[in-house]
Amino acid sequence: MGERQSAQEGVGALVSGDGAGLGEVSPSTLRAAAAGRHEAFEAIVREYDERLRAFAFSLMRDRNAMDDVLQDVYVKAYRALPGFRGDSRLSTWLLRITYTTCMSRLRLPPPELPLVDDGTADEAPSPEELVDLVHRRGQLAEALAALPPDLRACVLLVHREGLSYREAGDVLGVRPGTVGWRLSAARRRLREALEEVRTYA
Amino acid sequence: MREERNAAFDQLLRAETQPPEHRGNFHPRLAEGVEAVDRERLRRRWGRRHLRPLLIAAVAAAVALTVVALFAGGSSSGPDVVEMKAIQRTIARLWVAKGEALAPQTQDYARFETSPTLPEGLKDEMEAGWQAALRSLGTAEFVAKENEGGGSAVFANEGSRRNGDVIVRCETEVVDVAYRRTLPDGDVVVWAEVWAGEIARLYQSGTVGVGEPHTVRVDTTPTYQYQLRAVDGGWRIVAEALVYSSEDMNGDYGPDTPHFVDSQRLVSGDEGLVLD
Repeated sequence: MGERQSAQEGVGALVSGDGAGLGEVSPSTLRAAAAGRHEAFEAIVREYDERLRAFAFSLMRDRNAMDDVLQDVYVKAYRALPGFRGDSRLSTWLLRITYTTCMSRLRLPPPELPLVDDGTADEAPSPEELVDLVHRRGQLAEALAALPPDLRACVLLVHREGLSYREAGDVLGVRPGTVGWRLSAARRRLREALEEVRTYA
Repeated sequence: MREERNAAFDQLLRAETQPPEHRGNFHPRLAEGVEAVDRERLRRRWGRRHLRPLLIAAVAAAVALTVVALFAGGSSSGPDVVEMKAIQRTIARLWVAKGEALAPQTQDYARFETSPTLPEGLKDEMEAGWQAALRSLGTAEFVAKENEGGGSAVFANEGSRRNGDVIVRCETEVVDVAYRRTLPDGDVVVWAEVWAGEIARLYQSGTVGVGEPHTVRVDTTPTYQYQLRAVDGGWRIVAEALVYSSEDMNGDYGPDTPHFVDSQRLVSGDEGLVLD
């Protein structure tokens, strides 16, 4: 797109690269994008698009909705980049925007209060126990889809994106302890869903 | 071994949550959105450039007032709660008038929204409303300054239209008013944090009337300095100057959503104005 390249050949031309990087963009790229340089912003989009697509698609469960959300997310990010102070990683910041945009589209306020400790946290299965319950392709995705969006987001951020509890908390707007409770609740529900599927099969 | 099994879950999750590619129209739409942000920024810069002569005049007036205050000794007693509420109402009414001057108060957009210019009758009506508001809320000095250069808020709508946006609604709210000082002549200086939201219809390709319209929301929370004078039992605005500019942080709309506030103060001290 260049500084004033045409809209039609703009972001899209560069976004359509491999887009699966997991690193962070350089500070100079970040500064250039904040200054309004389109090619730098395209580099950011290219870097994070695959992760944001996975996150948005898992929450929205619809390709058109995913595109609508990410359209909003990238424009919001481009507009807000001059105010990005680097207090968190750029990826965390983008995931946060994606999460709030998804929740807004789903008409769900991002939960702010921690889940109540129901005393069953210790019963949450470990990831390895969940792996043992998976017997066919797509089974885990189905179980994940059955989770409420806030729990689903928690699983994705910690297990797919490899975020720490603190970083996941930043994205979800909750304390790290709340992330832990949600993760436990999510694993319990995943186990139930996976066992149901197995019993049915 | 346990770590490997845990990693196996992560790998399995990644494999089962592979996202689809974007649809074909995603990238052109995104490029369009980015261009729209550029246009918003250009428009704001345009506004700041045109404030410059006003700020220079205000700097001179403020410096003179500072000197007078130093020699004469300014009063430190501020207005009471009732007076502060009246001051806040005056500032709020000014912002309502600005909003009405920027966005036509009509529901009949279908009739003219595809035109790059406002209908003459409506434009005259908006301009008359703005001038009436100025006269009722400001001193003659303030009215004259606002009309310097022959432009008014009404023309911002047309300028915006030519950029491909049609402003359809402006919303404002005076979030906070803080007393700063009383000048020797009795004028009161306050800082007001104002939330101003602008809802525009953005047209594809930057060409008015082409393609499907998208709604664009822009909002900021700048801080302004006002000098007000007690006149006939009420308050009138003598001068206005921007103290801190603001940008929307994340695109969420409303006075309570995050906004970036410029860390560089545009007003030095209470009266002296410094250009950015």
